[in-house]
Parts: sequence; C-alpha cells; structure tokens
Amino acid sequence: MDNVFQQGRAGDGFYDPSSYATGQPQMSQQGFLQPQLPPQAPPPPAMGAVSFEDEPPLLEELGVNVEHILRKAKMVLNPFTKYTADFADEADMSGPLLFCLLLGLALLLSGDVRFGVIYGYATVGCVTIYLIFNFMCETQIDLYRSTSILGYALLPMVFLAMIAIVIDLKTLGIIGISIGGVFILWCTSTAANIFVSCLRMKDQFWLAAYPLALLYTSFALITIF
Amino acid sequence: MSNQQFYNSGDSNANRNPYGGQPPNNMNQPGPFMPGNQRPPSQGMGKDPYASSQRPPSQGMGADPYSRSQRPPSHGMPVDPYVSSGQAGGGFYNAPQNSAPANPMMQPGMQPNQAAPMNYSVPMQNNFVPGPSFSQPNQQGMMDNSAPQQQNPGFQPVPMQQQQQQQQQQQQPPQPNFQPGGQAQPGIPNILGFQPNDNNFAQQMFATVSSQFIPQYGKQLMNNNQEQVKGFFRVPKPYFAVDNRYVLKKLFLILCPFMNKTWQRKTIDSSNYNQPTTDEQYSRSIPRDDVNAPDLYIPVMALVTYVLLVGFISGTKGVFTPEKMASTASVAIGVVTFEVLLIRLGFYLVNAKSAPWLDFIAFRGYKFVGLVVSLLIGCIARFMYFPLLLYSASMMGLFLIRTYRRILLPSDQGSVGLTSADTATRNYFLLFIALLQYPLYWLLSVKP
Amino acid sequence: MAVTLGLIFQSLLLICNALTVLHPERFLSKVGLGEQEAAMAGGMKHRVSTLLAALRLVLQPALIIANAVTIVVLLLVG
Repeated sequence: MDNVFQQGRAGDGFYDPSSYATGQPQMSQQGFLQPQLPPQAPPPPAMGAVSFEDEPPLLEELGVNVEHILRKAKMVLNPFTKYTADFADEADMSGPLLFCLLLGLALLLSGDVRFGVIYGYATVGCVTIYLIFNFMCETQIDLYRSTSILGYALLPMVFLAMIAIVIDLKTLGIIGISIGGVFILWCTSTAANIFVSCLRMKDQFWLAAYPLALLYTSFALITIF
Repeated sequence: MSNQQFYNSGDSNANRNPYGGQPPNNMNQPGPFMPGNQRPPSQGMGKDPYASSQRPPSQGMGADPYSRSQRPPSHGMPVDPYVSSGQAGGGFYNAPQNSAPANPMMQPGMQPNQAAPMNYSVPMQNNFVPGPSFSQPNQQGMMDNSAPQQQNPGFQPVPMQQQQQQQQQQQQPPQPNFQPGGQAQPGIPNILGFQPNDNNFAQQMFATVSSQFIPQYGKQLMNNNQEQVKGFFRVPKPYFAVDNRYVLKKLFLILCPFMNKTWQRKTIDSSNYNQPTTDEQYSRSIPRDDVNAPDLYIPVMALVTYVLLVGFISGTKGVFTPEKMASTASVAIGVVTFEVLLIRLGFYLVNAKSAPWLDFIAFRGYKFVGLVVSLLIGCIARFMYFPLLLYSASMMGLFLIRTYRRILLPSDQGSVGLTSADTATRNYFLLFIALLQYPLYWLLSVKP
Repeated sequence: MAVTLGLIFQSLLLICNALTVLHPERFLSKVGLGEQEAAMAGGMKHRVSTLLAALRLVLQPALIIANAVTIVVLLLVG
C-alpha cells in the first residue's frame, strides 16, 4: 500500500518527497491532500492507487507472473521446443514451487504424504546439480537460475504423478517402470537442453544429462513406488 | 573452510608435536617476537621460498631428489608430485609439507592471508610451543609459499634455529614466489579466531602485517594468474574437467584394468605457464587429457546411481521407502570415508609421500562403478550377480594396486632410495588395500 | 544397521578416545612406543609414536567436547 501511494505522489512532483520520511500516517495525509490536485494534469495510472479497485493485482505485487509461468510450462510440455538461453534469464521461483506443490498434492491423492521428501530431494538435487555444472563448464550459472530450470523441467513428473493417482504403476510391473522411464527421459531432455543451451556445453551434453537423469529418477522413484 | 583449518592445524601440530616433550632449553631460546629476532616487514613478502636449500640433503629416509639447490630458482614444484616419495615426512599429512597446494582443500581465500606474515612465522616454529597455538596458520602459510622441503621435525635431531636464521638472512630470491591461484579476502579474523588466544601480541602483529600485505598481494595474484578461477570452485574444478571420451575410457579402465598399458600420469610442461607455478593442481594433467588422472565426476555419479539403483531394486520388491535410500547413501559415504581414512593412515605409516585428499576420495569412489554394473546386470540375470561382484572387486583391487603403486613404489623413476624392508612393507600395504575391497564390496552389495 | 555416517563418527570417536588415553610414561614407554625409544627404533614404530603423541596433543580438547556432545545426544535420542 505505502509503496503505491508514494509512487503516485512522487510522480506528479507536487509535494516534497522529504515529507514522506517524517513517518506521518500516510493515509490521513493522502486524504487531506487529495482535492488539491490540479485537474489539468492527467493523473498517471498510479495516481488511482487511492482506490482499492485500481491497485495492481496481488499476484503481480508478489512478483508472480502467471502468464509467464504458463508460457514456460507450455514450452516445457512441447518436447520439440528449441530452447534458447533466455529461458534461464527470466528465472522465477514461483513456477518451480508450484510444480513441487502439485507433485506433492498428486502424491497425496495417491496415498503417500511425501511433501518433506520432495522438498528434501529438490534442495539436495538443486545444490548438487548447481555445483556439478559449475565445476564442469567454464561459464557460471547461479543457484537461482538452475533451480528455476530444474523446477520447470519437473512438470512432466507432475503428470506422471497424476497418472499414478489413477493407475497403480507399481502393480503394472515392467510397463509401469517403462512409463516412468519415458517421463524421466522427457524431464531430462528438457532440462538438459536448457542447461546446454545456456551454459554452452554442447560437447558435454551426455555428461550434463546424466546427473539430471539421476535427479529425475529419484523423483520418479518416489512417484512410482 | 573450517574443515580445512582443522586439517591444517592438525597437520602442523602433528609435525611439531615431537618437540612437545623436549627439554625446556628450547623454550628459552629467543622467541620470534623478541626485538632482536624480528625482521623488518619489508623483507617479508614472498620471502624465503627456497629455504630448504640449506637443509642437509641426507635427512629422512632417502636421498633428496628435489633439494632446492639443484633446481633453477624460478621454477616451481616438480611436475610430477609423486616422484620424491622417499623422503621422510614428520607428520601424518605429508602433502602440505612438501608443497602445500598438494593439499586439495586449500582454499584460495586463505592463502594470501596466511602467506603474508610468513616472515614472522619462520622463527615461530622454533619455539616448539606445545598445543595448538597461534603459529599454525602461519606455518602452513609459509609452507605454501616456501620450499618443498621444509624441515621435518620428526627426523631432525638438531635444533633448527641457527639454520633457519641463516636462511632468512641469506636468501633473497629473485622474485616473490606467489601462489598462482587465490584471492585476497579479508578473512584474517576467522583464521585467528580459530586459534586459542595464547599470544596476543603475536596475533596483533599477525593481523597488522597481513592487512598491510593483502591488498597488493591480491592484486599481483590477479594479474599474474591466467587460470584464475573464482574462489570456491577453484580446487575441485580440475577434477570435473571431463569429456565423453575420458569417461568412456575411464569406465573401461576401471572394469578392465589389465588392459591398460601405462599407469603414469601425464605431465604438463611448466613452461606453458607465464609464471613459475608451485601449484600441483595446475602442473598436473587434467582428466580430459589423461585417463590416469583422478576425476570426481564418475565417483559422484556412480555413488548416486548406486543409491538410486538400490532404491529401485527395493521398489521392485515392494519395500521402497525414501528413508531406505537415505540410509543407503549414508552407508556408501560411510564406507568411502572409512576407506579413505584407512588408506591415509596407511600412507602415513609406511612413510609415503602423500597425495591430495581429493585424489584419495576420487580413487575410492570408483568402486561404485563396479557395484552399479554388477547390480544392473544382476537385475537382468540374477545368477550373474555374485560372479560379477567378485570380478569387479578383484578388478578394483588391481586398479588400486596399479594406481597406488605409482605413488608408493615409484622405483622405475630411479629417484628414491628405499630399503628392501620398506618396499616389502609397502607391497603388503598395497595387498591389504586390494584385499580390503572384497569385504567392502560385500558390505555394499544388495541382492537384486 | 550398517555403517552409517553417525556410526562411523561414533566409532572414530571411541578409537580416538582409546588412543588418547594411552599414557606416555606408564604404558607406551614400556611397549617401546615412547617418544625417545621409538625415535631410536625409527621406521614405522616412530611414525606410530609420533601419531599417538600428535593425537594426544591435538585431540584432547576436541575429544572432551565431542564426547560430551555425543553423550548428551545419545541420552536424548537413545
């Protein structure tokens, strides 16, 4: 709230910005000063922040860009996407967290409460992958971005978990295991393509894909069994 | 970082320890911070890297093939770190004595800090202060920059005092011998904080001197070093320089070590670098170029694969729990830790020149490759499992014998004077390591 | 059940306790592992005695803490 008010009034240059540092309650000041605004100056959009209707949506204020997440999720779901390095540049953490929650939820529906295990694997796996990739190649990637990539590539595993709600993959024997293998391959190829494109380690593709495959295998194990 | 400090301090303590029980006349000799004994700090930077040329060459067990006087002073460490294995190390951790960068956990951030005040630390060693004392990081730091053959207290019957003072006065190396890697970080309080506060004056001195030296020191480091890799990633990075060809070759080598022709590490010509390097990390070949170089990619991957495979197998049996995988990983890491410690102890007991810690860990991590292959084939054909396990344990033993033979018995290089008893002891040790593989493989085996 | 990390730590702790408790004059010098005798004998004996002395010197404060912590943890966790 306070942010929005300050933006709006600093924008029209009418008031001394130093007055905001006095720590007076902003609301009363705002209410008092409101009528003196010059009518001829069209108020910038943030001016309307006085009314609750015009506030930016909560998700935007939290930094969650739903469109963004959906677009990236669609990219991941299409196995033939050509990934470029900018996939990692616009990293966010809300998508991965969402997918982790969805995975846990799907596992919950199939009868296992594995939230803690998922977070544990995700934490250990992300740190390990981050370290290994930074050791392996010349260009560096930070933990935030690699976590984002790994989280988005987890999306197929959520579908595997959703399948596992309906069908008990464990009892299918070799078929269930191969379905799991397909999903592992999907996750792995997605993540490996993104990492390879943004780390420029084309000649190390298989070496990069192997640890990723191991990470997603661990998720698949708790999903299937 | 704290781990590293622990090893270092343990190291220097182990080296200095025999003097703990010395007659007290040693303690009465002028200490390093007595006014007469102090050297002006301006002499200190990069000082006395070649102190060992004063050392009597016949110390220790064998001849001293790399005594500094025989080498051109601008050259760094010998290229092959394992050559001079005959000499006696006083302590359990031999590697840092002969050249500190052999210690793979040496964090680059620490080196300048410790190295800067080394002029004070040199006499400090002769105090023979019992117990963990302030001089430990100094000592370590001095060894970083200084000669491979620092004194080995365990084998030094005469007091070193005069010798070292001579060294300090006489030696003016043509150029400071900087560490090639590392960054100056203002981490002095941490290092000091680790030590018991038994010498306030010394600590103050240490802090002042190092804070004076660190800025220019770090700058020179940055300028000098071509292969500057940032901070934490520097030490393990050579162990991950792998490519597809190396991994395939290495896997084949682990599974069929009898096919391998040579076990010698390749060396890099040190003239490739613009400056003399004392850092074994860089003077030795990286895995990409040399199949005999240890890497950490394969061990880590094999370990994780092993854990997942055990989880998978228990899943097919219907007894999968995530806790089971955690305990499997714990067992695996525990076995590796145990074995590394045991081999390290063995290296100490047979008085061998040591290798970096990460080398040991890498070589011990290769055992999971055999386990994984046995498990994988055992999943398909169950009757193959135990023969394969036996085979891979034997091959691991052979691999280890050949690998450690290069370190323990480098007789083909003609550079060590080992007595026949020593050779026999080392051979028994090699045999013990190889035979140890069978119980360890049995411990790690899971019925598919 | 098997060799987990905690077990390795505990066994190492016990081994270190056992090595540290060996008395230099009362025991070690009688079996030829005292510092003077071992230095005369040289070789592996000397390395062992050096190691023992080093362990005594370095590990004593650390062992006190580690033992105390382990005892408390084992009492609490069981």
